[in-house]
Amino acid sequence: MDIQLKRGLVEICVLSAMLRGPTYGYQLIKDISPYMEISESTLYPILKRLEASGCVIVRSAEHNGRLRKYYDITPQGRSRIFDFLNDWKDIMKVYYYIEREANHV
Amino acid sequence: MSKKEFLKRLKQSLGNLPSDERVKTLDYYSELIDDRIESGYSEEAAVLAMGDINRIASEITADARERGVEMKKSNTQLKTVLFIVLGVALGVLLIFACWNLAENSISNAMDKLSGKVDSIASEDIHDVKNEYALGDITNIDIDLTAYSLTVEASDDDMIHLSYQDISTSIVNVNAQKNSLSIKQTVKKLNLFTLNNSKLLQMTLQLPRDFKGKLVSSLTTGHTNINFPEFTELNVSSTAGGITARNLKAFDARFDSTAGHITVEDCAFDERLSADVTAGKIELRNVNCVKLDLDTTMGEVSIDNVVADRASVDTTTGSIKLKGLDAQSISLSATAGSIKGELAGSREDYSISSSVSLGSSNIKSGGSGTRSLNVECTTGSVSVKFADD
Repeated sequence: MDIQLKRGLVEICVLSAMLRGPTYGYQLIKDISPYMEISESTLYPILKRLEASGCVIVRSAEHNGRLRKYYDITPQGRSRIFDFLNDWKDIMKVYYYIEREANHV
Repeated sequence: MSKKEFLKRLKQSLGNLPSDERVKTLDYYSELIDDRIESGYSEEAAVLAMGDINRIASEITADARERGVEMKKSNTQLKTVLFIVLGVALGVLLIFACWNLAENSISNAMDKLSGKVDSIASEDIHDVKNEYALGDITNIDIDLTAYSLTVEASDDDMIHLSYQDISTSIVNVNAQKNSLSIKQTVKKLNLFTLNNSKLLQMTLQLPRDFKGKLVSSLTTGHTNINFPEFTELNVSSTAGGITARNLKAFDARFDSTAGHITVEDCAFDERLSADVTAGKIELRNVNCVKLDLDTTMGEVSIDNVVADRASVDTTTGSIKLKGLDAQSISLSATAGSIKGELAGSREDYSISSSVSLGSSNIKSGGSGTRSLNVECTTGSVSVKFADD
């Protein structure tokens, strides 16, 4: 898959995985990996970018005697998801057209 | 590879990153490794899942550049001095390591040299005093090139910052939402034309009810912390030492390349970790759950320390124990000796001892509930138990 496209997709995927409530790094990896390949080292810069762009807020909380970072989606992050869904509605129309035509040949 | 080794190597590979970025990255990987271990992975497998260290480091560095993070200032003169100092130290080390003499001479020389590096001409200095409302501030972020720093309690409910200002650098103070950031930008620092051997001083006084996180990174000066309570402490002094007294924190990490770390009368709810390349680590009256001490060439001295798990690692220094009380103890001195007293009696421990060339007064065995692991290559081991 195209790198830029994948990067954008992973960002939205990570945001979506936060819709059910605050979550942490390893949980994100477990939630997302059935749908797309993601590793600790790809997740890290994505979380940084999402935090820097105000889509995610981070807080540290104690877990089993150590600190764990919890990530929560902001209203800005939510609107990123809905923008994505809207954009893809149009893209999917084109996709189905291409698929239909390709199957006719 | 162990988690510790992984984090150590990753830290080395992230040398160009500013210290707060590096700390955040290491915290992230440490958390993810712990989470994998908690979910049933072995430590080895959890580390393996993180991937190749060099690739991680280059991705993170590239990403930080993309985000516009300023890479570490390359202050060539200062670097040259540090390299010479470290080069000399390493040379001396090679000669002395076998005789197990290096630690004191090197770290004393380091102190003298780093004192000289920090000299600033007195005529350029004037005092600046500012105060800030505490408000919602819970994070303090400090990055200084040529200051020694003291953090202490203030007498009122304001944050007081006082420092000696010099014309060749700017101190930017930025209080925003929940964080206060103090950063020094050096315009021109000519270390060798400076004639006064006094270090620039900065003092930060925090109201007693401040309870938050302090991240501080100093290049040349000494960090002195004497403040009742923090949630997290992340303090690094490249060419200076760190002294922490009379404080409490959830988690503390102290880091110095060429200075001594002293921790006295302190309690940590979770971890205390101290890492020194060429200097001593001294602990007196310390309480914590997890203790992690690491020096490449310096002595570690532990006096009245209580922990759940304690791990002490030195390459050429010695470990001196005047009362260490922990359930699980791991002591490793490659070319130094391990001497002193542990809590309890010998029967309380199950001991695993590996001493290659030196003499040792303890043997592997025993079936006590506490565990003691001793490793020594050329040094000798002489450990007593308080109740024996």
